[in-house]
Amino acid sequence: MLYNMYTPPHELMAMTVVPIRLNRQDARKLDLLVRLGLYNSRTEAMRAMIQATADEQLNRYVLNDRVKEALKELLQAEKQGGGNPLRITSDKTAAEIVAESRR
Amino acid sequence: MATYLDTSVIIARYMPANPAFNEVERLFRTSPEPRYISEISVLELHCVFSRLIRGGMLSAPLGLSSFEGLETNEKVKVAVEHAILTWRLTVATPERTYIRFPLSRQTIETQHELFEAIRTAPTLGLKTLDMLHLTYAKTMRETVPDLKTFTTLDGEIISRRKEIENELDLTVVSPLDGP
Repeated sequence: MLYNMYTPPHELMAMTVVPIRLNRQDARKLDLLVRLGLYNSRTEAMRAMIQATADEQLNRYVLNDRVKEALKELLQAEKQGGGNPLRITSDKTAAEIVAESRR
Repeated sequence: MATYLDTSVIIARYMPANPAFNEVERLFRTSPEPRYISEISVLELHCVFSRLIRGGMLSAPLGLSSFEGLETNEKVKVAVEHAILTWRLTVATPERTYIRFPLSRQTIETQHELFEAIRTAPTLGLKTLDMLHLTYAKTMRETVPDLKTFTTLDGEIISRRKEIENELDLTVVSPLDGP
Protein backbone atom coordinates (compact mmCIF):
# COMPACT_ATOMS: atom_id res chain seq x y z
CA MET A 1 0.00 0.00 0.00
CA LEU A 2 1.38 3.40 -0.96
CA TYR A 3 1.22 6.05 1.71
CA ASN A 4 3.11 8.99 3.05
CA MET A 5 3.26 10.31 6.59
CA TYR A 6 3.28 13.87 7.78
CA THR A 7 2.35 15.99 10.77
CA PRO A 8 0.04 18.89 9.93
CA PRO A 9 1.57 22.08 11.33
CA HIS A 10 -0.56 23.74 14.01
CA GLU A 11 0.15 27.12 12.45
CA LEU A 12 -2.12 26.14 9.60
CA MET A 13 -5.13 25.78 11.90
CA ALA A 14 -7.95 27.74 10.26
CA MET A 15 -9.13 30.93 11.94
CA THR A 16 -12.80 31.74 12.17
CA VAL A 17 -14.50 35.11 12.60
CA VAL A 18 -16.82 35.45 15.61
CA PRO A 19 -18.86 38.66 15.65
CA ILE A 20 -19.19 39.91 19.20
CA ARG A 21 -21.27 42.71 20.75
CA LEU A 22 -19.70 44.43 23.74
CA ASN A 23 -21.09 47.18 25.89
CA ARG A 24 -19.18 50.43 25.79
CA GLN A 25 -17.59 49.85 29.19
CA ASP A 26 -16.04 46.53 28.17
CA ALA A 27 -14.95 47.94 24.79
CA ARG A 28 -13.22 50.82 26.56
CA LYS A 29 -11.47 48.39 28.90
CA LEU A 30 -10.16 46.50 25.87
CA ASP A 31 -8.99 49.74 24.28
CA LEU A 32 -7.23 50.67 27.49
CA LEU A 33 -5.36 47.34 27.52
CA VAL A 34 -4.29 47.99 23.94
CA ARG A 35 -3.27 51.58 24.73
CA LEU A 36 -1.23 50.36 27.68
CA GLY A 37 0.66 48.14 25.26
CA LEU A 38 -0.46 44.86 26.80
CA TYR A 39 -1.99 43.77 23.50
CA ASN A 40 -1.61 44.88 19.91
CA SER A 41 -5.33 44.96 19.18
CA ARG A 42 -8.80 44.32 20.62
CA THR A 43 -8.81 40.99 18.78
CA GLU A 44 -5.52 39.92 20.31
CA ALA A 45 -6.73 40.93 23.77
CA MET A 46 -9.98 38.98 23.46
CA ARG A 47 -8.18 35.94 22.04
CA ALA A 48 -5.75 35.92 24.97
CA MET A 49 -8.57 36.20 27.50
CA ILE A 50 -10.54 33.37 25.92
CA GLN A 51 -7.46 31.16 25.84
CA ALA A 52 -6.79 31.91 29.48
CA THR A 53 -10.26 31.26 30.81
CA ALA A 54 -11.87 28.64 28.54
CA ASP A 55 -9.90 25.70 29.97
CA GLU A 56 -10.52 26.92 33.50
CA GLN A 57 -14.27 27.13 32.89
CA LEU A 58 -14.26 23.69 31.32
CA ASN A 59 -12.42 22.23 34.31
CA ARG A 60 -14.95 23.79 36.63
CA TYR A 61 -17.77 22.26 34.60
CA VAL A 62 -16.21 18.79 34.52
CA LEU A 63 -15.26 18.72 38.19
CA ASN A 64 -17.84 20.66 40.15
CA ASP A 65 -17.83 20.85 43.95
CA ARG A 66 -20.36 18.01 44.37
CA VAL A 67 -18.20 15.71 42.24
CA LYS A 68 -15.07 16.71 44.15
CA GLU A 69 -16.78 16.11 47.51
CA ALA A 70 -18.09 12.66 46.54
CA LEU A 71 -14.70 11.67 45.17
CA LYS A 72 -12.99 12.80 48.37
CA GLU A 73 -15.46 10.77 50.45
CA LEU A 74 -14.84 7.66 48.34
CA LEU A 75 -11.07 7.99 48.55
CA GLN A 76 -11.25 8.48 52.31
CA ALA A 77 -13.54 5.46 52.72
CA GLU A 78 -11.12 3.36 50.68
CA LYS A 79 -8.18 4.51 52.78
CA GLN A 80 -9.98 3.69 56.01
CA GLY A 81 -11.70 0.49 54.92
CA GLY A 82 -8.97 -0.86 52.70
CA GLY A 83 -11.30 -1.90 49.90
CA ASN A 84 -12.99 -0.32 46.94
CA PRO A 85 -16.19 1.36 48.20
CA LEU A 86 -17.77 1.33 44.72
CA ARG A 87 -19.40 -1.91 43.66
CA ILE A 88 -20.62 -3.19 40.31
CA THR A 89 -23.41 -5.71 40.66
CA SER A 90 -23.78 -7.81 37.54
CA ASP A 91 -24.04 -11.44 36.48
CA LYS A 92 -21.55 -10.69 33.73
CA THR A 93 -17.77 -10.65 34.10
CA ALA A 94 -15.76 -7.45 33.72
CA ALA A 95 -14.51 -8.65 30.34
CA GLU A 96 -18.08 -9.32 29.18
CA ILE A 97 -19.28 -5.87 30.30
CA VAL A 98 -16.48 -4.17 28.37
CA ALA A 99 -16.85 -6.45 25.34
CA GLU A 100 -20.54 -5.54 25.24
CA SER A 101 -19.70 -1.85 24.96
CA ARG A 102 -17.22 -2.61 22.15
CA ARG A 103 -19.79 -4.35 19.97
CA MET B 1 8.51 -2.03 32.46
CA ALA B 2 5.19 -0.24 31.90
CA THR B 3 1.84 -1.60 30.79
CA TYR B 4 -1.28 -0.44 28.96
CA LEU B 5 -4.19 -1.39 31.20
CA ASP B 6 -7.30 -2.55 29.40
CA THR B 7 -10.68 -1.35 30.69
CA SER B 8 -11.70 -4.91 31.54
CA VAL B 9 -8.97 -5.03 34.21
CA ILE B 10 -9.79 -1.57 35.55
CA ILE B 11 -13.45 -2.35 36.19
CA ALA B 12 -12.84 -5.88 37.52
CA ARG B 13 -11.68 -4.18 40.70
CA TYR B 14 -15.24 -2.99 41.22
CA MET B 15 -16.63 -6.52 41.02
CA PRO B 16 -15.82 -8.72 44.04
CA ALA B 17 -17.96 -11.47 42.48
CA ASN B 18 -15.89 -11.39 39.28
CA PRO B 19 -13.84 -14.62 38.87
CA ALA B 20 -10.67 -12.58 38.35
CA PHE B 21 -11.24 -10.20 41.29
CA ASN B 22 -8.53 -11.58 43.59
CA GLU B 23 -5.87 -11.64 40.86
CA VAL B 24 -6.82 -8.12 39.76
CA GLU B 25 -6.72 -6.88 43.36
CA ARG B 26 -3.28 -8.45 43.76
CA LEU B 27 -2.10 -6.68 40.60
CA PHE B 28 -3.63 -3.43 41.90
CA ARG B 29 -1.87 -3.68 45.25
CA THR B 30 1.50 -5.19 44.39
CA SER B 31 2.47 -4.37 40.83
CA PRO B 32 4.97 -1.50 40.75
CA GLU B 33 4.92 -1.01 36.98
CA PRO B 34 3.57 2.28 35.65
CA ARG B 35 0.10 1.92 34.13
CA TYR B 36 -1.08 3.73 31.05
CA ILE B 37 -4.38 4.22 29.30
CA SER B 38 -5.36 6.24 26.24
CA GLU B 39 -8.04 8.74 25.34
CA ILE B 40 -9.97 5.76 23.94
CA SER B 41 -9.93 4.24 27.43
CA VAL B 42 -11.21 7.51 28.91
CA LEU B 43 -14.14 7.45 26.50
CA GLU B 44 -14.73 3.78 27.21
CA LEU B 45 -14.69 4.29 30.98
CA HIS B 46 -17.31 7.01 30.58
CA CYS B 47 -19.46 4.72 28.40
CA VAL B 48 -19.13 1.65 30.62
CA PHE B 49 -19.77 3.49 33.88
CA SER B 50 -22.70 5.37 32.28
CA ARG B 51 -24.35 2.13 31.23
CA LEU B 52 -23.77 0.57 34.65
CA ILE B 53 -25.08 3.60 36.55
CA ARG B 54 -28.11 3.98 34.29
CA GLY B 55 -28.83 0.27 34.84
CA GLY B 56 -28.53 0.68 38.61
CA MET B 57 -25.50 -1.62 38.71
CA LEU B 58 -22.93 0.72 40.25
CA SER B 59 -23.38 1.82 43.83
CA ALA B 60 -21.55 2.75 46.99
CA PRO B 61 -23.00 0.16 49.39
CA LEU B 62 -21.27 1.61 52.44
CA GLY B 63 -23.90 4.35 52.40
CA LEU B 64 -21.68 7.11 51.10
CA SER B 65 -24.36 9.75 50.85
CA SER B 66 -22.48 12.27 48.75
CA PHE B 67 -22.10 9.71 45.94
CA GLU B 68 -25.63 8.38 46.11
CA GLY B 69 -27.03 11.93 46.02
CA LEU B 70 -25.37 12.81 42.73
CA GLU B 71 -26.99 13.12 39.31
CA THR B 72 -26.11 10.38 36.82
CA ASN B 73 -23.63 12.52 34.90
CA GLU B 74 -21.89 13.47 38.14
CA LYS B 75 -21.71 9.83 39.26
CA VAL B 76 -20.05 8.95 35.98
CA LYS B 77 -17.44 11.67 36.47
CA VAL B 78 -16.76 10.48 40.03
CA ALA B 79 -16.43 6.84 38.95
CA VAL B 80 -14.04 7.69 36.10
CA GLU B 81 -11.95 9.98 38.34
CA HIS B 82 -11.94 7.30 41.04
CA ALA B 83 -10.74 4.61 38.64
CA ILE B 84 -7.96 6.76 37.19
CA LEU B 85 -6.78 8.03 40.59
CA THR B 86 -6.87 4.75 42.50
CA TRP B 87 -5.28 2.69 39.70
CA ARG B 88 -2.68 5.50 39.33
CA LEU B 89 -3.27 5.58 35.59
CA THR B 90 -1.48 7.96 33.27
CA VAL B 91 -3.50 9.00 30.26
CA ALA B 92 -0.98 9.16 27.45
CA THR B 93 -1.79 10.81 24.16
CA PRO B 94 0.28 9.73 21.18
CA GLU B 95 1.83 12.45 19.09
CA ARG B 96 -0.70 13.33 16.40
CA THR B 97 0.68 12.12 13.13
CA TYR B 98 -1.34 11.37 10.05
CA ILE B 99 -1.05 8.98 7.16
CA ARG B 100 -2.41 9.37 3.66
CA PHE B 101 -3.27 6.27 1.71
CA PRO B 102 -5.24 5.49 -1.43
CA LEU B 103 -8.62 3.83 -1.14
CA SER B 104 -11.30 3.46 -3.83
CA ARG B 105 -9.89 6.24 -6.01
CA GLN B 106 -9.79 8.57 -3.01
CA THR B 107 -6.96 9.65 -0.79
CA ILE B 108 -7.79 8.94 2.82
CA GLU B 109 -6.05 10.87 5.55
CA THR B 110 -6.15 9.24 8.94
CA GLN B 111 -4.45 9.22 12.32
CA HIS B 112 -1.46 6.91 12.56
CA GLU B 113 -3.16 4.63 15.13
CA LEU B 114 -6.22 4.19 12.93
CA PHE B 115 -4.02 3.32 9.98
CA GLU B 116 -2.17 0.72 12.07
CA ALA B 117 -5.53 -0.74 13.10
CA ILE B 118 -6.65 -0.87 9.46
CA ARG B 119 -3.34 -2.46 8.44
CA THR B 120 -3.41 -5.19 11.07
CA ALA B 121 -7.17 -5.86 11.15
CA PRO B 122 -7.04 -8.70 8.58
CA THR B 123 -4.38 -10.55 10.58
CA LEU B 124 -5.77 -10.00 14.05
CA GLY B 125 -9.50 -10.16 13.33
CA LEU B 126 -10.47 -8.32 16.51
CA LYS B 127 -13.26 -5.86 17.28
CA THR B 128 -12.77 -2.23 16.23
CA LEU B 129 -12.16 -0.86 19.73
CA ASP B 130 -9.88 -3.77 20.65
CA MET B 131 -7.78 -2.87 17.62
CA LEU B 132 -7.68 0.80 18.58
CA HIS B 133 -6.55 0.09 22.14
CA LEU B 134 -3.77 -2.13 20.83
CA THR B 135 -2.54 0.31 18.20
CA TYR B 136 -2.69 3.20 20.67
CA ALA B 137 -0.58 1.14 23.06
CA LYS B 138 1.90 0.47 20.29
CA THR B 139 2.14 4.14 19.26
CA MET B 140 2.49 5.28 22.87
CA ARG B 141 5.78 3.43 23.02
CA GLU B 142 7.35 6.29 21.06
CA THR B 143 6.89 8.47 24.15
CA VAL B 144 6.98 5.67 26.76
CA PRO B 145 9.75 3.35 25.52
CA ASP B 146 9.30 0.70 28.22
CA LEU B 147 5.57 0.25 27.52
CA LYS B 148 5.82 -3.31 26.29
CA THR B 149 2.78 -5.10 27.67
CA PHE B 150 -0.97 -4.94 27.24
CA THR B 151 -2.80 -6.18 30.35
CA THR B 152 -6.30 -7.47 29.72
CA LEU B 153 -8.97 -9.95 30.81
CA ASP B 154 -10.48 -10.10 27.32
CA GLY B 155 -10.40 -13.72 26.18
CA GLU B 156 -10.47 -12.83 22.49
CA ILE B 157 -7.43 -10.54 22.77
CA ILE B 158 -5.63 -13.11 24.91
CA SER B 159 -6.32 -15.80 22.31
CA ARG B 160 -4.49 -13.66 19.67
CA ARG B 161 -1.38 -13.19 21.80
CA LYS B 162 1.04 -14.56 19.26
CA GLU B 163 -0.35 -12.58 16.31
CA ILE B 164 -0.41 -9.35 18.38
CA GLU B 165 3.20 -9.87 19.38
CA ASN B 166 4.20 -10.47 15.76
CA GLU B 167 2.26 -7.55 14.29
CA LEU B 168 2.49 -4.92 16.99
CA ASP B 169 5.44 -6.05 19.13
CA LEU B 170 3.25 -5.95 22.23
CA THR B 171 3.11 -8.71 24.82
CA VAL B 172 -0.43 -9.48 25.93
CA VAL B 173 -0.64 -10.43 29.61
CA SER B 174 -3.52 -11.33 31.87
CA PRO B 175 -3.76 -10.92 35.65
CA LEU B 176 -4.77 -14.59 35.59
CA ASP B 177 -1.29 -15.49 34.27
CA GLY B 178 -0.02 -15.09 37.83
CA PRO B 179 2.93 -13.08 39.09
